[in-house]
Amino acid sequence: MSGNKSSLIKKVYALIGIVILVYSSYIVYVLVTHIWHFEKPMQHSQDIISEEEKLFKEMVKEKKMVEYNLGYKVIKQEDLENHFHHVGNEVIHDNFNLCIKCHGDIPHDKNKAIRAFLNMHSDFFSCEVCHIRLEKNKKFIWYNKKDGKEVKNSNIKAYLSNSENKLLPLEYIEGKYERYDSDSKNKFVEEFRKVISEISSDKKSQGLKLIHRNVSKKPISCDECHSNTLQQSYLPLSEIGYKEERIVQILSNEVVGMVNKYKEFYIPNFLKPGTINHENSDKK
Amino acid sequence: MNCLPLVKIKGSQKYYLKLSHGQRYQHFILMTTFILLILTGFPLKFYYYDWAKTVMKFMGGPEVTTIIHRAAGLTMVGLFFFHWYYLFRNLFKYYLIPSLSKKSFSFKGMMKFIYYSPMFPRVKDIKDFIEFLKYALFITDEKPKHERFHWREKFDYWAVFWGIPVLGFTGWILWFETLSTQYFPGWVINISLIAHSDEALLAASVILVWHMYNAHVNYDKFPMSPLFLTGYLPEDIMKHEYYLEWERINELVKKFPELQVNDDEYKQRMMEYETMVANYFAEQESDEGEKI
Amino acid sequence: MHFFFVNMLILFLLSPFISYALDDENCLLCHKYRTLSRIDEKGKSRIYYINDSLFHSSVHGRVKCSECHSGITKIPHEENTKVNCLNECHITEPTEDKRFSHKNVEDAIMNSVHNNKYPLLRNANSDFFPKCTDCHNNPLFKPIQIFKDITDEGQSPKALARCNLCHKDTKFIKYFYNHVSHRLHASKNNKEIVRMCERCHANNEMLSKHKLKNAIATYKDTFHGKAAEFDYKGSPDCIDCHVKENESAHSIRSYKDPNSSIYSKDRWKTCAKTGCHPDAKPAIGGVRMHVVINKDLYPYEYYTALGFTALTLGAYFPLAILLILELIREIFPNIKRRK
Repeated sequence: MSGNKSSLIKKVYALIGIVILVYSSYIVYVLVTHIWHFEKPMQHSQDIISEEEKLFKEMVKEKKMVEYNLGYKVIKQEDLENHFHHVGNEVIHDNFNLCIKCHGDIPHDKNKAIRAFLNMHSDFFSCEVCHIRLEKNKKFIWYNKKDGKEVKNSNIKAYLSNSENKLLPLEYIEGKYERYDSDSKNKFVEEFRKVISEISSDKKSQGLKLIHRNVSKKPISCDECHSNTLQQSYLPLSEIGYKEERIVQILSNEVVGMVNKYKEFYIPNFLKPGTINHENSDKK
Repeated sequence: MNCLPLVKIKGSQKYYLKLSHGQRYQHFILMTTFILLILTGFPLKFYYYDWAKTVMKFMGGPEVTTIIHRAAGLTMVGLFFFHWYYLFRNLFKYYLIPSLSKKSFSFKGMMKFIYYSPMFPRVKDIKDFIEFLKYALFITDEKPKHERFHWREKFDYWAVFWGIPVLGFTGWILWFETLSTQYFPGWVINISLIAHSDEALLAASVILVWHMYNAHVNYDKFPMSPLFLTGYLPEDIMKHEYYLEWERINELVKKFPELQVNDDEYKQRMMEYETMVANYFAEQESDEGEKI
Repeated sequence: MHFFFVNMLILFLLSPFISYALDDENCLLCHKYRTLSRIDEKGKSRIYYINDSLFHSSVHGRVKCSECHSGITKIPHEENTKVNCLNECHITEPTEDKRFSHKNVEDAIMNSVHNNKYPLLRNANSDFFPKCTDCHNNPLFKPIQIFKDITDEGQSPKALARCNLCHKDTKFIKYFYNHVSHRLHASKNNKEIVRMCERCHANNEMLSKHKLKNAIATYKDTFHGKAAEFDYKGSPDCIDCHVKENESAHSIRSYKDPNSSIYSKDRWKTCAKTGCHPDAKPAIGGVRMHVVINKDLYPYEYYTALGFTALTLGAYFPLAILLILELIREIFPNIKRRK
């Protein structure tokens, strides 16, 4: 018996040995032929790829981080080609929001005058804040972008840039408040995303309708929050944690500060999409 | 052979002498310099892998590794020259001096001596190799019977024998780059770099796979053969791999029994002796105590 | 509530004067937000964020936004307002009282290989030659670090104390200190320089357009590149060899140009710099630095590499096969092939 056993071990041992040998031969081959490698990509480059393909390729590329060693400290940041100014810290991405999963972090594109401003707001507001109009029973919470958990007692004294938290409205259902990204909705969206290529097109439309059913036709516009008085503001600023000094800035003077500095200042649809901003044009 | 017993008996097992003291030391120096050279050289050659930086850091950064690499390289080249000296010394000691004193010297005899010296490749090795192929290809069940060093070991030996001059010479060119440009055209330095690093890769891959397998990972020897530490091989490996040598030594020992040392017996005697001495002193002490 | 509105009014009136003293134009009002950005028509993200603290520790920290971005006069900003680095800005050069501009850099560039009017180009028709921002981003101050104790901004308190004796404006002192001590050494370290050149000289598309070889890969395979890779002190980067010691880093010239640092007859002088190979003789110029394994360009290197590759694979693979055969045989120890 013991003889059989030891010969079995020996066989297993030999098999493992063969695998290791084949693997190490592969490694040796890779290492030896490295010296020839840098000619290959040269030939590839001669194939012409279309502009579109190039853009796609660029997009799929992973973010490259670079270091700037200043001697007394090291600055690590994303390598932005042709970007002159340093950005420093990375953007804290929202891993939790439902909408972002399809629409991305920088969704606004249409309104040339204000798209960058709208995208800037998506740093600390979830899409639902502006795209779902709450009539009565307005209630908002802050959640952590990384784990999605509610953050209580926020005291916001200064401006929010690259904030860790995001504001989210709550849905009022039969006396209870529920998050717009509740587990059940989250699950549905996840599943829908998985099967979207397989289901029939009418189902697809149905699903999309269902997901977007709370979205208001006319989103909250800038001047609804950047209003003249706290009472007029759509967002209950002090209830959601803004301190007095910050509220003062939000309510119009941030914008006014800009106005004072520019001789030629016009904002066609800046605060009231669709109408001319009389106040500003007067100043001009 | 440096007054080492040909066969040692230890733990009721026989051990056969294969490497003398000097050979063992030579192997040890070769081994350590080889490992150091790989550890300090390969991160440079394969700088584009992540492990290269880790190894480099571990070895103390480029400022330190350049020194280690050059020192180890010098030692290895020194060993190469010493080995030549060692070979000639053996030739003098075992052929020239005895034959000259007996006045039986002939050129043919010297060639024959060299040909039959243990590491020299011989017709027997080719035969062994063919035997091995027959065995490996299921033509026969018989394994080849080897002498003191078989063809695999000779391959290792000669690979290193030709590798060290190539690596040493190209390494020297790269070390003294400004000096060498005065004697060679510029491209010699370029090909030295290629030759040095490629030859190193060849040596490392052959040693790390072929030699490691034959000496360590082989099932019978796992985790390693004690040879490079003790210079002796246990009887089962000796019989299994060096049948002819095993036979030869056994015959010698039969003829001259004093070539064999029984460690067990010696240890037994030593123990007896020690207890005897200890008892003797203990008795003396107690005697003294009684006197006081 | 009344109090609140009074407060608000006061803040409203003061708002341009508080918070950003250095930002007179109040651009940071919007540009301080990290995510002020959009995706442009080509799908590239455009980031309009200005990192205040990094900007103010950069060499342009005292230049007002509008001095470079002179095309911007209104909000929302005009489209396509490219910055011209040759603009004269409001910083004056103290010895001449002249307004500062990067004009001299342009002169150096026009004398170097990096412009399409240079006579020794391989392909002058190619439309791509580098603009300032292809190589440079806003350089961050790297004050000289030769002191034991330094402040959070990398300055020596002792040296600052010496300045403080006569000069009173702390901001000016710090800026002047940074400017002078930053200028005394290369503002980019080896890796940053290699990374800069790599953008084009390791970009296959660009290389084939200009009929060049990948200079970065070949550099990295030499001891020069390896030394830089492992942060060996004083290891040479691209600029160290390709620019003459007393010239601007912008004056890189072709190896065929007699004024170039790598002109075949004078190349050894570049190698023989004191920190490099001080005892080098003219023969060192014969060593080839950017060797591609290519039969026509570098035959000796090609055949050596070919020989050793064949030798290594030719030695290793048979041995590995023998071992595998032996192991297979060990799995079936007693089956002889039946005849």
